[in-house]
Amino acid sequence: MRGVRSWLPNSLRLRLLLTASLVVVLFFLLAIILLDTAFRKTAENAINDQLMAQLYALLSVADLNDRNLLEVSESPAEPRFSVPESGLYAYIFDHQGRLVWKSDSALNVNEIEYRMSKVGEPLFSRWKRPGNSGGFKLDFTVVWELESEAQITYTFLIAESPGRYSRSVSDFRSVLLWWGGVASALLLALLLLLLRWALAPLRRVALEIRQIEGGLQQQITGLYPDEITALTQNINRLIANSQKTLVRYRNSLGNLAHSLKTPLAMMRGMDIHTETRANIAHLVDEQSQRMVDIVEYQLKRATTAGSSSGFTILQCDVWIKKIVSTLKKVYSEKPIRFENNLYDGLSVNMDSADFLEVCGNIADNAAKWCLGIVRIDGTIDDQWVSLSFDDDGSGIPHDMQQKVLSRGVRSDQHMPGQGIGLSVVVEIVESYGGTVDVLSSVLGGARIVVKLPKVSVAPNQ
Amino acid sequence: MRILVVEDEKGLREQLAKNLRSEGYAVDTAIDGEDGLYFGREYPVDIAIVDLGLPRLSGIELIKILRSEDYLYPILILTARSMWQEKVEGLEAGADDYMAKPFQYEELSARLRALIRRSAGAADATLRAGCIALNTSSQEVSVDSIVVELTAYEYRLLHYLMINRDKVVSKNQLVDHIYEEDSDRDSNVIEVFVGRLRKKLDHQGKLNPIQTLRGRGYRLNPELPA
Repeated sequence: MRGVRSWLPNSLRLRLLLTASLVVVLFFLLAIILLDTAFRKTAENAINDQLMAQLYALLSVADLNDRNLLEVSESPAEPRFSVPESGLYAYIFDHQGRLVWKSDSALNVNEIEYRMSKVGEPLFSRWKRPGNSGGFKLDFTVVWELESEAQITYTFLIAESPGRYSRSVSDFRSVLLWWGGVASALLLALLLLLLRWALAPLRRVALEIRQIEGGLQQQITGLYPDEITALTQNINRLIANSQKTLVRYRNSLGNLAHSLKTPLAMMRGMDIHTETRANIAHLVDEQSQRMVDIVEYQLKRATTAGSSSGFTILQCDVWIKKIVSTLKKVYSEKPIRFENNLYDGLSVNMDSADFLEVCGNIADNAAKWCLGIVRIDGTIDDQWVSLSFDDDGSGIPHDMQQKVLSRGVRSDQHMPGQGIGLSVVVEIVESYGGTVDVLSSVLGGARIVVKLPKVSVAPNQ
Repeated sequence: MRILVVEDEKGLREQLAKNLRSEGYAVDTAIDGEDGLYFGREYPVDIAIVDLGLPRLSGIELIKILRSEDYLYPILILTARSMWQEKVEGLEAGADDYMAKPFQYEELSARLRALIRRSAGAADATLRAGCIALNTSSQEVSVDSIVVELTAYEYRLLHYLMINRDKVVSKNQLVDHIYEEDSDRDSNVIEVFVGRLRKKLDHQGKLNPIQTLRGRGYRLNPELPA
């Protein structure tokens, strides 16, 4: 198939035209063959009938004489029997194959073989004459009964040269090919017009896309047939998503530049000639860490796909397993028991990188803060898929539980990490229409619950 | 211990190498993925630091190739992008830990020590063999709780023997794992180091901390008293 594809033209119209032409040509060839065969059969049947008529005419003028020998008393009515080489010939053979009589037309036509047919049954067959294209002949065996009740067998043979037959077949073929060719050409021309009309919507779509690229319009707005409407809607969705992404990147870059200016200003504003080395080191360390946090936060916000990315259906347990496997390696020196209670079939509509960012950050926090247990559960109701992450650490005080979701806030300054993770989690989850809640766990530590909209179609992975 | 640093940024690579050497590691450096693959295959690496964003061959591909060829030494990945997707991909490829840039060197050092301990089957920062204790965090060596001062190469040699405490280590292995590629290596000096270590660890000559197995190499005495 690859070889076939390589020589097919790149144009859809040409491909359709080629394949349609092939079908038309094959159809007409088949029709021509069938019609030609039917015509020849009909012509042969007509010749058969004519030869039978000639045979009966000959029979009517043949009779036994006094010596019980067959003779033809008068010339058959058909004048061609009297003209040498007329193309119509008659013969009579006895039961031993000896020629008893032949017509005047067969004066010089001696190379003919008779076949003894069943008595009373004519045998119509091709006559192969050397140096000639051959014609048709009819063999007919009759039995004469004598007065003594003895029987004498004779075979009558009527033969015709192919001249008339060949001419009529040739004429028919000429007409057939001529009109067949004309009909094919007309049909192909019609096909060409139809294809042009049928593919017109694609040309209009291409034109609209060029208008969009040139900034003359924002979306594809034309009315199109059903088959193309799905395509144009998808294209419009892609255009809208890429525009949103562009806006998001621009905003993030702007926010980044804006946010970095403060720590940079603080460092540049410090008087290094009067400040102590310790103060300088502390300020540089503090502000450079702040810059790191800002960069990481804005980077994660910018690269979030969000709900506009389209429908990617994720099996939650598959991706949570990847996160748990990662955390087991990272926290290999801390004996943590990860209880992954998610069941098969729990799925969400979400970009995989966003899902990893949300659940990875939360699970990482749980592993960081826990004493030895991290539990992951999942539930589903009419509208939501809820993923909960519990740990058995010291938990988060009630008055801090909502604040830790804000950027830069941590409930305990003794653990590594600067509080960026949960705020990014909230932004990502909210971009999908979900929520994040911080609660106290029955295990004694914190419980983070992420709610995401339930998948509206059956998962296909 | 011999450590391979695969990092294309020159400043960071040299800074890392300098800090690691000051901690007693023999450091080899590579500037891109192909270079790193060569070093990773040809040299006796004990642990590797691999940056993900490498030219010529990505860090992930480098790790995958090394693991597929059964090079099982611990690998810590460095990544400028701290996205969880990269972390998962890196660890699924076969790395053992990751750190996002920029990082505190102290944290990197602690993670490296943890990886080395993990690969040796040690549970905490201190390696023990009978009455000999080697703290990988403070690089302090003690015998019966009395601190013993060692030179850099003596420390490296003892550290390597303690990581491989149940194995016979040949002189060539010791040369490969305590010296860097560019250094002046002399296997005869190993005998001198071993001699000095024995004296420092065993003043009274009772412990026989390092056994010589003629024609094969050295081994930490498995019957050292606690």
